[in-house]
Amino acid sequence: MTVPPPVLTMTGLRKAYGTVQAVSDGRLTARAGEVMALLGANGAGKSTMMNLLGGLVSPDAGQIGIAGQAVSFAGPTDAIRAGIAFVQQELSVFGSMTVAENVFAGAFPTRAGRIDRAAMQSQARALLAQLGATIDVGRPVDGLSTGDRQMVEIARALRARPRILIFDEPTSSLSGREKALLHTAIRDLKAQGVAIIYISHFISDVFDICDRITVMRNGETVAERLASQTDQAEVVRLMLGEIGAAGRIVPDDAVPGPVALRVVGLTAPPRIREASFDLHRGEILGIWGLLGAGRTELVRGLLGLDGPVAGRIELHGPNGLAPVPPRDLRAVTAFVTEDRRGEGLLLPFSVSDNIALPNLDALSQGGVVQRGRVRELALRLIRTLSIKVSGPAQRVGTLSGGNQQKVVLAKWLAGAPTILILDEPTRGLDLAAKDDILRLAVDLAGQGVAVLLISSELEELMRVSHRYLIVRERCVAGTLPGHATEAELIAALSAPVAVQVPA
Amino acid sequence: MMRGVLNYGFPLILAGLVVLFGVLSPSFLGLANAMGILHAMVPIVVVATGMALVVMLGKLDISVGAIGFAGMSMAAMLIDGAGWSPLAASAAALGVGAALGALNGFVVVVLRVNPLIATLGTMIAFRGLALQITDSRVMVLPDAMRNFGNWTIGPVFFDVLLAGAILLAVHLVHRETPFGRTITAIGNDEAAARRIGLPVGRTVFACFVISGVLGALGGVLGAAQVGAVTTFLGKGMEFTAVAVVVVGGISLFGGRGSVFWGVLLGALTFEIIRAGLNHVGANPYFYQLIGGGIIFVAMYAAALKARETRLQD
Amino acid sequence: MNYSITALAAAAVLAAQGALANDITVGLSWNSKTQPLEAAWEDYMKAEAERQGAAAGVTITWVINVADADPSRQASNIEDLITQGVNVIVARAEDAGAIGASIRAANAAGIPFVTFDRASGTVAPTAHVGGDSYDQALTTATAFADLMKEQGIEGKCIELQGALTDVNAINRSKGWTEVDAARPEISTLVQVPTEWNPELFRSGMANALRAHPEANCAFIASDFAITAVQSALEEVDRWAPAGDARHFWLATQDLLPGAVPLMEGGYIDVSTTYDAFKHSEELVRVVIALSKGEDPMCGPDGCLAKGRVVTPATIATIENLWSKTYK
Repeated sequence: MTVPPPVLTMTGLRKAYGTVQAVSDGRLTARAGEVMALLGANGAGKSTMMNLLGGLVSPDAGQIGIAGQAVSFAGPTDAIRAGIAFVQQELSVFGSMTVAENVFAGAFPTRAGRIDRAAMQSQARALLAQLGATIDVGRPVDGLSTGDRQMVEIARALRARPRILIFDEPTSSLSGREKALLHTAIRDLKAQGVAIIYISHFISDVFDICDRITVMRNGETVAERLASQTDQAEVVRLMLGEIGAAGRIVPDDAVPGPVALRVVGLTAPPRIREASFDLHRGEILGIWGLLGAGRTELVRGLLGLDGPVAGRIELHGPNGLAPVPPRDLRAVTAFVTEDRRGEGLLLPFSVSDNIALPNLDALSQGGVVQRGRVRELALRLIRTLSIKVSGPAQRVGTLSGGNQQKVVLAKWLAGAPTILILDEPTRGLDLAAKDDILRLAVDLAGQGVAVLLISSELEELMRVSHRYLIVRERCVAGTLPGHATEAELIAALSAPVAVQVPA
Repeated sequence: MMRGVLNYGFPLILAGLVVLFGVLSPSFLGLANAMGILHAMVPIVVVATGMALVVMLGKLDISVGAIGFAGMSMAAMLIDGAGWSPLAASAAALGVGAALGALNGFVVVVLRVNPLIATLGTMIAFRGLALQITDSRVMVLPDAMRNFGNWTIGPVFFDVLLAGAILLAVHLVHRETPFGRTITAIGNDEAAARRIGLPVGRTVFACFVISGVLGALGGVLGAAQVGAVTTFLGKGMEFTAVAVVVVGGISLFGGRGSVFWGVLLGALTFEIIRAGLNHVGANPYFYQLIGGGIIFVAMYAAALKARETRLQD
Repeated sequence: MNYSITALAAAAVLAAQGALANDITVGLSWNSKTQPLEAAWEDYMKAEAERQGAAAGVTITWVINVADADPSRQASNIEDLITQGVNVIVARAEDAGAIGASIRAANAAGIPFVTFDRASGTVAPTAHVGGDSYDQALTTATAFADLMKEQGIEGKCIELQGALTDVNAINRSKGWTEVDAARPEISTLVQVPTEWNPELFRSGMANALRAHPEANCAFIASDFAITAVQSALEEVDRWAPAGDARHFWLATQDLLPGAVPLMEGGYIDVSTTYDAFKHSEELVRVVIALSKGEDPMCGPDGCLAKGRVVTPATIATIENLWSKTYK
């Protein structure tokens, strides 16, 4: 069987935004009648590659070739004319207009100034039929499911008879059934000779539908493989790169305390599909998963921050494990995120003010805040956490990132929480500060706090986790013990895992 | 059946009102009154038609009353001071409307000022300008113009036919042309419209120009009916136009509703209430209360319908 | 707002200053001067100042400024008058609230302050001179009832009311209603609110005519938009001068320039003027009284000048009718 020549070749592309080199060596090839996946972690350079392809930005170096001809795009219209079409993650559909009108928005067929509805409807029907969708083209888009709306969007992209069709995270909001329909449609398009680029975080989807896989890491394309000649594990390894030796600061054989928190069947589709796990006193449970897998959604769902969830959450109380409503859980939980400014600190205020703020009740007497107590508390925490400040009155806005993060921790610790959730706590910090924060987490665990730690840096997780919780495609896939190796952890992201299911 | 009542709840209320007023004052149901109601509606229908397009975009133009006043003031000065014919002067008024509408468009599209704030500013500026030009005098218009304003062809007033034709034309443009569909798309989701390359800037600009022209036309027709230009011309008309559009079912968020039925039902509601209260001789102090009460009931019915539709999603 | 007490106080101040002058300077602050009415006022004031001044042995010098419809400009204009040390200040306020500050400033300087035509909303001036809108309606209504009696007609009237937020409109309706109740010759079939909007004059009149085909007269709270009423009457072919069988009897208020030719033509039957001359006459009387330290003897609402009743018979000969002579 002869391999068709590539309809798209991107070679040697470089693009910098200011001092940040977003892409240093971008390569991508797409062939007619083939689905090419583009994979990479956050910041790997995928979006920049797509912006280059879509004509939104121009490359600093490198070439883009369409069917063998070198092209240069002055703007998105050039890209469209070259036969490139996108189906974005954020759908551009107009609810009150009909399906046919949506498909032809911006390119209505007209007759003497009037829209030729008959032509528009029959053409829209034909385009949708190409996708195997049987949506009524005369009905408004309002009320269509996400999957159907996506079909409408794809039909619009097809209208221009593109040679290259790019899907950006097409399945993140789809149900299983809708995903299957989408993949069927993509196979149909394949058969019709369209070159398809498929960008997704769901690796299993990629292997389901794609013929080839391109992996990017740190702005470079590091590999291109035939899907049939690789597996999920290798792909994940290519995405994440080699991890340096990890210096563990937590003993491998630590004995976990009693269960502090039990979660059974936590569900809030489509954010969380099914999550069950135990969290013990004094342990650090490292939540491990790829970007987009649903780790942050899981902990936020646990605290009820994004709306109601189904499932059972039990907290250890005086009478053992008992169901706990989200509000009560929040009262004993400290939640530290990477967004120090947005969710943690009042930058113009002093260190002691920030520490005092969530704890004013305990620091007041007769409705009046006791300055003495506030100062005492602040000094104690500054000492405990080794926060480098000139004094408790220093404005938080003037502290370094690491120290700011410590103030955030201090704020929560003043309330003596039972559970501590750390979501990417070291993001943006220098190495020394990262180290500090991790050691603090270990100390706190040593004092009996139950800790949930999310980190995208496997090395970090491996330094401090007593156990690992594997999160994959919005579900909890299982757990791994603290002595799991790097290889095992990476493998856990892609294959069914021999897991320890909570008893 | 509940669905049916909700869907048509609003027109049902209108029909009920007509019956009620008819019972209390039999002349209300006569042809002369029906024609009279349509005739009184003409200025607001014309202005609300332009407003409907802007609202469909998800924007507002609250300077239309001031544009009507400014345009007509200019026309009156031309007739009075420069001896122009009423027809030529009215055409000049429309030109003024287009120019002022274009200014609005420029501020909103190019300077990217929020439309409400932009047209609030131009409303004050335009009205102030017109007051300066006319010295706040009452300007009596020639009989020829007043006669035209109240000219009847058989039982029907000519300006009713004119307003109806304009409303229908704009409605069809909105529903059946790419320009009109682009307006709806922008009203649904302006960011998405830009993403897929629709000519958002041009379309918004054009709608403000149309709104300006129709605002000026409303001013001309209103002054023609009355035979004079006073400082009251167009005062508050923008808010009545918005109220007409909203009551008629066009969403202020944009992208939804029918231009024809929205403007017609909205304007009919207000005029039927007023004419009815006139007919039954209601106590003048209660006009606002009763009118407001009826609007509230109608809006409640419409809100129930909207909620029903949303729940279906 | 009790004007008489403040007037006495000011008079006392003046007496204390020994200000029984024969030569007085009057500071006059206009809010704007673009309309024929405003020009008429000023001319009449000057003429009356000469006439009344001569009789009272007083020479009046005027210091006049115009504020272009800007309240802060008016406030600084009045400041100038105070600094110049005029004997009396007269002001037609652009803003009823803002004028209060100027009144206080004048009081502090011991200068009597007279508000003209537009009352102050907050601070009481020494005196207020304006039109008597209640009397305006009373005299028209009475004259109209007399007319109906004379013609042997039972008047079934439509009342077109002004904006119910305007005290003048309320006063006029009050006057009409009182006479209506007292006189059998006229009765009101329906009251129509117009919010001072000419379009509502037209449509309101048209609706009332349809609902009450037996109506034969109307009381119109101001004839500034009389052409609107004309449109409504033309629609039912009832626009005709007195003497014609189709004539519809009209009683109006103000007799503004637009209404003058209509009265001359016999279309309007009775009106009471918004009388610039009478306002100016009363103003000069008050100013002279204050300058002599006397109490101008104003009523609780101020020194209100009454308008004059005008009919087609008298309009040709009536003197000092500003709406006829000033265009």
